[in-house]
Amino acid sequence: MTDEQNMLRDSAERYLRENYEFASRQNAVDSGKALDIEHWRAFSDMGWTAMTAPENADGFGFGLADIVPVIELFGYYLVREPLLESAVLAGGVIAAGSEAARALYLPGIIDGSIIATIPQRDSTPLTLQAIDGEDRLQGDLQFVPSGGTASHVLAPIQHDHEKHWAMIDLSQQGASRVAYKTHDGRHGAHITVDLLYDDGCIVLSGTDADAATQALYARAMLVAAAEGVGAMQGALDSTVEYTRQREQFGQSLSSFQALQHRMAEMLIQTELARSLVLAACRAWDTQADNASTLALAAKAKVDAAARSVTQEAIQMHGGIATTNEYKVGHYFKRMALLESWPQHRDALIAEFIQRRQG
Amino acid sequence: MTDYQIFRKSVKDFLGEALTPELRRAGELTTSVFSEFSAALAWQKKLHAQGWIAPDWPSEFGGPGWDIQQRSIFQEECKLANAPSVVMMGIQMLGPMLMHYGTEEQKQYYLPRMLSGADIWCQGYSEPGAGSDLASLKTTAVRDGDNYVVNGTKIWTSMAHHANQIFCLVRTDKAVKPQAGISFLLIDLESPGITITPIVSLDGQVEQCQVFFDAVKVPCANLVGAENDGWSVAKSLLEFERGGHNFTIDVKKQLRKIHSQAKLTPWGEKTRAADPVFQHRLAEAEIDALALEHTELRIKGAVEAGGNPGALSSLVKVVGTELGQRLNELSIDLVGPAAAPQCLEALDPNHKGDTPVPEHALTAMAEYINNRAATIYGGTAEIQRTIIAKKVLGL
Repeated sequence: MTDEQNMLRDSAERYLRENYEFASRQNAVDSGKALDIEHWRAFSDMGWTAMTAPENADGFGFGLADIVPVIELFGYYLVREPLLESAVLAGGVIAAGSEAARALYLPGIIDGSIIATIPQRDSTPLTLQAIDGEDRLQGDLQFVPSGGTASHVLAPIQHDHEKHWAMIDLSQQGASRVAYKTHDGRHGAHITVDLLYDDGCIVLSGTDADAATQALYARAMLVAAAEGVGAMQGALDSTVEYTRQREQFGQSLSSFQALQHRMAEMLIQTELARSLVLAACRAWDTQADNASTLALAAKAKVDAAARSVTQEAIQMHGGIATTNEYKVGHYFKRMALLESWPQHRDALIAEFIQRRQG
Repeated sequence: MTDYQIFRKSVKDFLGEALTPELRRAGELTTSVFSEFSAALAWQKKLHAQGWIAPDWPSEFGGPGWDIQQRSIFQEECKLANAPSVVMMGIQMLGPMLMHYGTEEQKQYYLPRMLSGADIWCQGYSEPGAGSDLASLKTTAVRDGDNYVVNGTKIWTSMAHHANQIFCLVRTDKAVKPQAGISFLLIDLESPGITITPIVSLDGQVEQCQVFFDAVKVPCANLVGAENDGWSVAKSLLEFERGGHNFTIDVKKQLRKIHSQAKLTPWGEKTRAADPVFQHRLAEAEIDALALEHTELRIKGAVEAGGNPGALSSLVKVVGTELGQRLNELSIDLVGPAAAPQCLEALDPNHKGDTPVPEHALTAMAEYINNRAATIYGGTAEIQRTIIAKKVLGL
């Protein structure tokens, strides 16, 4: 790790430890606000929104593998602001986009004035067609994660046989949403678009857009997988700590071998997932031949591992973990949602099989 | 080509030449850790002549002086070329320990004989009453002049029926706490008073033995390390047994075999390779294999940077062996009823003539049956999880 990476990781660790403890996170959730604006400002002040932005756009130019430790912390502290979606995922597509789009959107992503999110991988693209002499952009994006939090959604558009990616400003007339709270303390939305088309929203088109789709969702899998490793670590640490303190039958729960072995298995699964995620991020950064396959594998591994690790965490804590005021169950909930992001696990496995055969 | 590619090619070239069809056949028919003994010995002699018999040894003791990457390439190429496995208890386990704890005389006498195959070693640790709780072992060695007199029995002694030497943990002091009264002895299996009884394993083959010691005289010069210090000597060796193995290579070979088994197993008009249920199970296993591979690489990277794998070698042992067993299940599920015939004759590499099952089905069941031992030997999966719980999680 370079000094810059260490600094970034350390600053993230310090900030989240001091300002993002579980109780204050829950206060923010209970306030009903989609996002804590002070956290959001702090994130961009500390440069987190610029982690992966190109250096010629005032970013740090880090690859995914460089920021895995930071992403893990987001999982560990259950960060609910869509920083990774906005800065790393949408920001990544914009950075690969046209000069105009970069100039229009990247500064906002970096200074935090734009909060972008992206839709599910199998979302139906918006359509662009002439209606009564007007070019209209229309469509629905269902179940957009952090769609209730975002200022913009990066959306796919299908026009004739060409694909585009566009930044849709959700505050404009013709963009509407039905927002809802999600089980992980975030705010999702169904987004409906029916607006007069202005080509200023286009980020990239044609073969560039196809490549961007591929890259976007591979990166989405890797980011979610890295977050999952952090969440598993959080669930494991909490279980170890809790079983040490909790006494039954006159001794600490952690002294029972039946539980020790299960905690060892939690560690095994967490470390296996961590190794694969790191390797897959490195493969992605270096554009290795097997990068896409490894991204699928990493996400699928984390999904399976996180399911068992977070379930085991609840089981070993006992009743306390089934309450909403106790932290460990929130890892379980976050991972349950990430399992279908950006696409459900069975689809990832099917694609993995296809790639192995092709 | 990079240096490693050149190295890989030199290994491939050597294997292409040195591996006779008979030796390859012995490799193909290997259904456990061990290959048929005469083939294993013949292969050991060829590797010895080439100077490659002890990849992990430092060059001053006869190793080839390879780095970690080269050793892993060598292991991988041997495995994928179906080379027989060499009986490894001497070179992989006892050798490094003698280099560390042995006397000058012991090193000079035993190490070269280990390399050449003049001595075949087996390991005498477990006893009928001392398995996972090894420190409770009861075989005694009592000093009598320049000798120890050894009484007791060792069990699960792999290859004892082919070996001429055994390294043993014996009790030299009963008065102290169990770990403190154990010594490490090298014993010539030709010594009077030794009886070796083969044990037939579930698959019908013999790999394990029980060894009985009845007033066996062992020269005191055969003590390794200090008297009563055998436990720490053995512990260093156990970590070697766990950490030295590359499970990814085994798993890759198993996966390759499963792919070919699937393509050869009919499924309606097609083969099982086209069966989505099978494909799904295989994909899940392949993803876990990737996770294992990159965990081993992570550990290797840490070791290269001067770190100690420590308890992570326990993690890899658990995952590697359990995944191996899962792949065995995939294999027999693929092969189905063709895995039923026992095929003891056909599994002998010297067998000529017909076999009762198609080639691709020949080893599946024997491997499945035999490999239940993988999560038992070298520290059971339970012991490994206990080590992880204690050493990593601090429980």
